[in-house]
Amino acid sequence: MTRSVTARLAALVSIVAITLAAAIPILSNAHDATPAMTVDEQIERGAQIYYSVCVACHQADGNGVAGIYLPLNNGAIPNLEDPTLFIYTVLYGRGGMPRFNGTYSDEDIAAIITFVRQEWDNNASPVTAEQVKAVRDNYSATPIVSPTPDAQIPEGKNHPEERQDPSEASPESTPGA
Amino acid sequence: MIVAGIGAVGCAIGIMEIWCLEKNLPRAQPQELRTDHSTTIDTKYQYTDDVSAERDYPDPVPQRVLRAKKYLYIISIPEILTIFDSGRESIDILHLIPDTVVTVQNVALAFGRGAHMTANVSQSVHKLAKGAPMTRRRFLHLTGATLGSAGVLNMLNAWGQNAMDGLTEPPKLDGNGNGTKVVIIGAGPGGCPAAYELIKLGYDVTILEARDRVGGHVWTIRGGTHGEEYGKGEQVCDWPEGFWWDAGPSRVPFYHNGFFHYCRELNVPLIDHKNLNLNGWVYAENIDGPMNATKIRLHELQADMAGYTSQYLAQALDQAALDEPLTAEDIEHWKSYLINWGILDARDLTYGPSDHRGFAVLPDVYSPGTINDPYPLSDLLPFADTTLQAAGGYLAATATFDWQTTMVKPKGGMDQLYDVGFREFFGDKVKLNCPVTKIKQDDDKVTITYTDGATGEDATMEADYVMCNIPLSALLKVSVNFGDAMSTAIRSVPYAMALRMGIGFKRRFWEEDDWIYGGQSFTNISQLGILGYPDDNYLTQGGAMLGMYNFGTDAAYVSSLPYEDRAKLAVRLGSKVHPQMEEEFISAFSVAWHLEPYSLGAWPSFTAESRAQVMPILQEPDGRIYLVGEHLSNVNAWMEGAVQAAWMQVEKLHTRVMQG
Ligand SMILES: Cc1cc2nc3c(=O)[nH]c(=O)nc-3n(C[C@H](O)[C@H](O)[C@H](O)COP(=O)(O)OP(=O)(O)OC[C@H]3O[C@@H](n4cnc5c(N)ncnc54)[C@H](O)[C@@H]3O)c2cc1C
Ligand code: HEC
Repeated sequence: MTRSVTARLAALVSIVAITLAAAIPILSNAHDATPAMTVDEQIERGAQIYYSVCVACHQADGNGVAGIYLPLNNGAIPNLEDPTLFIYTVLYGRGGMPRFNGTYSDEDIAAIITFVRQEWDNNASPVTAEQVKAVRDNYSATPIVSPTPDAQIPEGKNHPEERQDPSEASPESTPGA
Repeated sequence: MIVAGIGAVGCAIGIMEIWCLEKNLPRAQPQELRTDHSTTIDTKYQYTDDVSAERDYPDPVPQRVLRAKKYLYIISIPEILTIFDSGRESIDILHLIPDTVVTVQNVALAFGRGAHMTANVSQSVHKLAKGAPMTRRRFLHLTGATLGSAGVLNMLNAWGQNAMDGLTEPPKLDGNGNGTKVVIIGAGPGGCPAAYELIKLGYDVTILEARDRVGGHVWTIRGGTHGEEYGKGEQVCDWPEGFWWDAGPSRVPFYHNGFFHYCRELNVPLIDHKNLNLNGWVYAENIDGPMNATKIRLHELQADMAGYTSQYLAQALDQAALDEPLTAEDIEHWKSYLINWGILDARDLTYGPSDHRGFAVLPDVYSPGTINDPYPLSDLLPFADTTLQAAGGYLAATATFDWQTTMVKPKGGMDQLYDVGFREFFGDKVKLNCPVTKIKQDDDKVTITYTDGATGEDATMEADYVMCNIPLSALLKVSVNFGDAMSTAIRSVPYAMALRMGIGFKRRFWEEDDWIYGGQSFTNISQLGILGYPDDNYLTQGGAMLGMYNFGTDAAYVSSLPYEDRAKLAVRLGSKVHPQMEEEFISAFSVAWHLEPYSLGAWPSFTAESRAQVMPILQEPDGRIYLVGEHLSNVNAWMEGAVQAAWMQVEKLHTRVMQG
């Protein structure tokens, strides 16, 4: 995203941020009381979510559908040492990849990602709820990822005042049909 | 004595429901009500026997206790106005039933969500009924006197004199495109109107459509329809002749004038979409109390909740228990309203059994019938609260602006506008089975690479401009040399998941056994959602219904199952409401929109924030490429959004071409 576009939008965005602020719960605080899961527990919970939700598109073997649902097995993003882009993608989605920021807690998202990073041929470190929270806090939902995603990490957040992300249930995102 | 109220919402959509409640009548004969304007008044007619004798009322019967629902008319305000225009003296229906209690309400109002106060217009309607000459002017005047300026505005609105602000027709553009070549990529609800307007403006238009049909997300399923989701293999629909069901859009709100514009242009007849049928079922499970895992009729739920709510509020008003600055008159009106709305006993402001909410045994030739008791309030509350918000709030939505009755749809399926109307208009300008794989623009042209459906070979086409109707999710799979801002904007919009299933049944058990003619039933079974019944061909042999509609992770889960297992699940869950399902099942056709090629999602899932950031970029051309589609509009997940986007982009492109 070019600077001039960002500047042009800044005014608009701050107006929107004000109207949203009151209405949107801070999702990431919802599970503060839960003690952290062990990695084994994460993998169990992650597998549960993967095989009921992600599996619809990325398939049971994690290989996806060629050219459409990108592979998570041996995938570029899942095996990056830095999990930021993985977390970012699951939180905010992209095109045919839905966003899950309003669906799952930080713990659950950490669990799914840990599962994927350790399943099949993948071999990357577990991810914690704190790391997920850090991405929620530091990156806004839009706009974001550079045009060549697998090479790059998202730019930093654009506007400090709009850290909270509307959940899927926010009225604005409720479609007509 | 005559009492009436006019629901402001009803006026806005030009629909009024008129309940005629009789009393002190001799045993009424079920009579056809006719006027010499038979086309204007005949929409609905219901008759039930007089059962007022069942209750012991003081004499004279207090006018506020409305007991026997006798006739239900639906008549639109424009229709009433037509009568006035014809120079008639008055509205006939009010003459036809002498000594009648009349309430005029909107369904939404009766349901209790459209908290629009009705005014007591007994005087006015009394005059009306007595046949004082009625003109448009006088009608408005009466409306003003009783409903205030808002009422008049709504009335004018329905009359087409002062419509709500909004786009109603394509931009009026001068000049001629003189054969400037425009390729439209995608023949969806966005691409079609764009192509239509550009053709009319003299452009040389070709439409490249990936699918074998016109319409995109608009997809009417019939016997013979085939589909193939990613990773799921083929499914072919084998319903008998005459069954149809919409897998995508199925209903259109009253104010989607862009959609209506093309129905008019292309002569596509419309029918009602009965979003709300009060005889539909409401089912809740996993709730507290004795109503767990039970189904009740929507009219019972509605009557009871309106009754109890009115009772408590009316009693609070009566005891001046509300800490509100209300005048004595306010309180009187409000109480009177609540008595009529909740069907309270005017003496003690209590809600109790009445024929308003239905019968255990219907009145018939042998007996006056048996009235049902209301559900006890504390049993009902968990049920009512849960079902109102279940399945994406569908039940609550029936009383909202977008979803209020009456909604409409093309007769025979949504595809009648697209795969018939537009497709015939385009002729050989639309090339089906031609998925575009690459779009490359340079300073003076755009080169489009696509697979030619006829030959199966790659082909290219050049154009001065492109209008690209591909949903952003699917557009990510096409190679396009957009600038950075556009690329980033496109990547930052995720799409939502949704799954709909149509199920064909041998017999219309919902009509024959349950007496449900069109509309929906509502459940809180998350994977099932709502059930939707065919709104036409009543009492014919069999039909297809909406047997499952879910979103988000429910849709993901169900879509991960093979087609047959999805169907088994739907029948198992749906049997909680309709145990006949298994017996009558023919076959199902399910569409998980996030697994559909060339859709890759149901609709863009914007937030207020992302909309504000991204929309201005999507709406501007990137070089010679203009996007078009619902994703450019604030009318999210409605076809209307796509129509309006088309008008916007056509105007931008034409202005540019005219300026050379
Ligand atoms: C489950 C569901 C229910 C809905 N209910 C309603 C409703 O009741 N009422 C209502 O008004 N709206 C409803 N909608 C919304 C409505 O479907 C959309 O708003 C509308 O279809 C958007 O039109 P569009 O032209 O932007 O996109 P689309 O309908 O997606 O059209 C895009 C077109 O581009 C084509 N295409 C894609 N990729 C390529 C390619 N590579 N090459 C060539 N062509 C390509 C597609 O085949 C398609 O024809 C519903 C949507 C869903 C999913
Ligand atoms: C509705 C289908 C769908 C579901 C469900 C889904 N994804 Fe995706 N996912 C996609 C698509 C499509 C893409 C590729 C987006 C694009 O076109 O760039 C993707 C991309 C991704 C990527 C980025 C891959 C890369 O190399 O860039 C990750 C990581 C991912 N998904 C993880 C998940 C996880 C974890 C889940 C479950 C919580 C999930 N997805 C559920 C459709 C889906």
